[in-house]
Amino acid sequence: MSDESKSVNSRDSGSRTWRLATKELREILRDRRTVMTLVLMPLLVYPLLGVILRKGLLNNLSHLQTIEVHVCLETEEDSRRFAEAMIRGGQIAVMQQGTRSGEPADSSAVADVLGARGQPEFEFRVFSLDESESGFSVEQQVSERFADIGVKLTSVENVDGGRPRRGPPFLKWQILRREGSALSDRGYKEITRRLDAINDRYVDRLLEINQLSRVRPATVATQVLSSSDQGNSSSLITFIPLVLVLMTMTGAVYPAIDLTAGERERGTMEILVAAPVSRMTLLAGKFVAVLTVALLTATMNLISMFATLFALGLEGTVLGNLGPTMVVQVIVLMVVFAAFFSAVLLSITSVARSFKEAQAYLVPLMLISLTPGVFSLMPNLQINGILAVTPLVNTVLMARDLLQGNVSLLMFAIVLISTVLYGVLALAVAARIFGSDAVLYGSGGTLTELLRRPQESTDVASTQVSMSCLAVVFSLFIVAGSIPSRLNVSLSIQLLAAGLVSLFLFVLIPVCLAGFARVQLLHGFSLRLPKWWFWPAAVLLGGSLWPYIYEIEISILTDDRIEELKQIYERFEGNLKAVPLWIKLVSLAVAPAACEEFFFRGFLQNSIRARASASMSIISSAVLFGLFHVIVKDALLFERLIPSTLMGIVLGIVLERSGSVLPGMLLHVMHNGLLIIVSEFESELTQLGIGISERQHLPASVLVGAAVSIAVAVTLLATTGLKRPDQRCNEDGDDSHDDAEGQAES
Amino acid sequence: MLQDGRLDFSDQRGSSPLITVSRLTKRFPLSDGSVVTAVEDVSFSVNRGEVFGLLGPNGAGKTTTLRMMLGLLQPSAGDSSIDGVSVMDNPDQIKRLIGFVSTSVGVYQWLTPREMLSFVADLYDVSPAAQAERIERLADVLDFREYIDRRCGVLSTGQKQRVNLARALMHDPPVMLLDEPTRGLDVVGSQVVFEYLQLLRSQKKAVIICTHRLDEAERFADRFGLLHQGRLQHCGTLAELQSTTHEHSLTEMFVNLLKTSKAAICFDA
Repeated sequence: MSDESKSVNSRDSGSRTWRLATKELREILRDRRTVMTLVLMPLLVYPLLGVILRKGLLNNLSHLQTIEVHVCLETEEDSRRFAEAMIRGGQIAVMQQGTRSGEPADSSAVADVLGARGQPEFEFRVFSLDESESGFSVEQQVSERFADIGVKLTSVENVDGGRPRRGPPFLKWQILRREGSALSDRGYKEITRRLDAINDRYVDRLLEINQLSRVRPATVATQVLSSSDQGNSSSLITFIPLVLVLMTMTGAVYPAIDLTAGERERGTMEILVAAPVSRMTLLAGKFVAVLTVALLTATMNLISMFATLFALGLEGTVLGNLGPTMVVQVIVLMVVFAAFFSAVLLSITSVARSFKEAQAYLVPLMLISLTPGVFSLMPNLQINGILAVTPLVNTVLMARDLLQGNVSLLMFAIVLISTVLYGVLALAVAARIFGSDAVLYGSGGTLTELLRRPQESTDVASTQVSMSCLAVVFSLFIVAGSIPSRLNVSLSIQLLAAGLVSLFLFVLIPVCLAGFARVQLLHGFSLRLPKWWFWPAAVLLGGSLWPYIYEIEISILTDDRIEELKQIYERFEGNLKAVPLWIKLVSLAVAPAACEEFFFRGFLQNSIRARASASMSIISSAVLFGLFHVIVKDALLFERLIPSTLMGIVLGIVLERSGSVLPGMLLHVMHNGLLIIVSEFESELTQLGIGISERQHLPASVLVGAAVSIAVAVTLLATTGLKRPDQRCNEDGDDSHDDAEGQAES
Repeated sequence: MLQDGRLDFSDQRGSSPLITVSRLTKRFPLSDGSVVTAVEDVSFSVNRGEVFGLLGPNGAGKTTTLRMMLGLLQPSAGDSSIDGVSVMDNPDQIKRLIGFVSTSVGVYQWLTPREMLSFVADLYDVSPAAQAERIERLADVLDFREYIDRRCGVLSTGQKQRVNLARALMHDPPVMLLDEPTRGLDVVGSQVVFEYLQLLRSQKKAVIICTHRLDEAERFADRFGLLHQGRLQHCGTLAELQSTTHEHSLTEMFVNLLKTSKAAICFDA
């Protein structure tokens, strides 16, 4: 098929997917059951929840407002004294509070909103042992829970400065508390508070009588500050991601079942499979429809949730301060999550033969999906590399962090990319199973069908296989990429370990997956000998691209960023100097270059090329290549995106022209190797008059020399014959690429 | 008709046939490791403007044969081609050449016949202008204009069947495959199918109709293939079959066939 007709087809399939999606949407949205979950549920659920929440808060506080404490005393007389003291102490305490200014008010957010400030009311229910007929002692009354507090009063010698004193005798208050009882504790604190007030007043009076001023060696002034860790102040916010995730799921479940298992049950599946439309196109239409409904549901839920919060005046309590960027980030995250979950649902419901069966499959999924919700409620759980690539958990945690306003951009990027890739993976699985004869006619087990190897081998991996592989590689790239630097060994060993990780990620995993999918290894990874002239072209490009890549990088960087990077590099470089050159070359040039070529060009681009135009395959694999280079251990190096993507485009063109991954490998190894050698011999080069240091532009002679060499290489690539006869008609498209590349670099 | 010791029912009269099925075989592996042969070595051909009845009791392999012809099932051996296009080499192209009416009267409950037909036309890449024109024409021919804008969920079985028959013609294919089109229909419904076949015949389409209702088949089809236990036992016009089997009606032929194979299979005809 020619390039042009291919691109026309891809445009066609795009609009066709949209037309299919509108039909699916029309069908779903007319269904009353969808409307129920979409509109009525959120409209009813949130106001109801809101009312309950509000009532709950009020109830709790009204309980707080009168605390009833049962107090046991020995005699009737003691009861009377206790009651008197409590009343007097209470009055004095209130008076003191009134006079003392600057007393920090209890600023509990919930209390604020509901207008309930200050101390709760205490009601002491006093009884004496005489009244009680149980024959228990005061201690037993307390430990047996008849009383919360026990008080024993004994008169003590009046030691008022040695003079006899008028008025009631001094008393020793022995207070008995029950261990582990909050009520007992509160009561004890209140009793001592009131007694303190009486004592204070007495001392004040004495001072007053003796005309002494009230001086204290230590005075206290308290100020209450709001916590910087907002997680504690608004714990209610952690529920929102959970609710959103659940609601997005609820919205997607019914359409997903209806559009897959439902087709079969209605007998309309055969209409679809009898049509000349690829399963992926059919599924794409369904995916768009399910996603739309999921998003509509999520939106409806959000609107209803916020409306309820505002109506009840709870928005401050629950949301805190929510900025516009935060809102955008949350929305992006939700869209990506909805896409991911819709794809997962479709892949599962595609296996089912009926509505009932689909529901049976989905129950465990929903239960599994609930567990990540627990994570969001754990305030001390920090998102890390592994959690960021764990499906569902990453979304819930990221949403929590977003709403709390403490988010790392790196983690946000990782969560987004991994979720998108998992979605693609799930769609690939769905396309494999949807409408397959095993599901249609029951010629095999359905769930096991997912893992069945294809019977026939193929030359090139299908995009489903390569995209699934990309999802796996990306997750492991995040998890395994940081392992070498965490090893407690010398830098040389760490570097070699990093090389091994590259080998594992970009060679071993793709080979295993391709082997499983019965992809022929030589063809599937473009491992073939190219025509001889591609070797000199690769050598020329490998030797002459770096000055331009370097210049592009410099022109992108801002001054601040350069300072920042300098610091990062200097720390690293100091140690790097001690590493032998060969280790650096093997681990930083040969291993990553060869492995990355193997995966990104040999496998990925090759696989995309089988379905798409040359330019499409080159650009998409180059952008993916660029994205992988942005994430470096614990930082996002955005400035690497453009140079790496451009490099990917050059390498992609070489693959497209030569039909082999080998010249690209040579080019890539040479390019990386030269950069390392240049930095290794930087001082020597400077002495030779070639000044290469951070931020400085390269001498014109170097750039001109490189340009000449690039021109020769481009001529070699552009004018020589093509290896693959089916690409002969693509020459025009590729030439324009070379030109664009040349312009970008010059 | 005997080649390599096998029966070959390819039609060798006159011009080259539109549909050629040659030695089509399908084996299903079972989970216990054994293999069931659903269709074995079936060959026949159908010309333009001809209605070919593929007859047999339930489980004879009729539907499996159709599914292989349509590219929904991969044949274990043999091939089927339409106008020289092989289903093995070019399944997508084959699907464009075939209109398929399946046993189940599948309609989308929440779409109207008009919406459903234009959706199907979209699947076959029919231009919007052609879609509108064809829907109008089919609404008249198959007489469903009255309820063309009602949603399918409220239509009767017979009405759904009309929509379904129209659906298969939306991309104007040269070949029609009908799998038990009269199942669950009353006399009026069967009559609609009969008229539909007349229409297809007049449009010079090559038609294969699968049915186990032999009385109907005699009325519907020009030529017949008698399928039993996955094998094509007899093939030809009614007169040819009568002369080879010495039986008068298709039913008698089948009863005879069953007797000889001693298979206890019930007909619902």
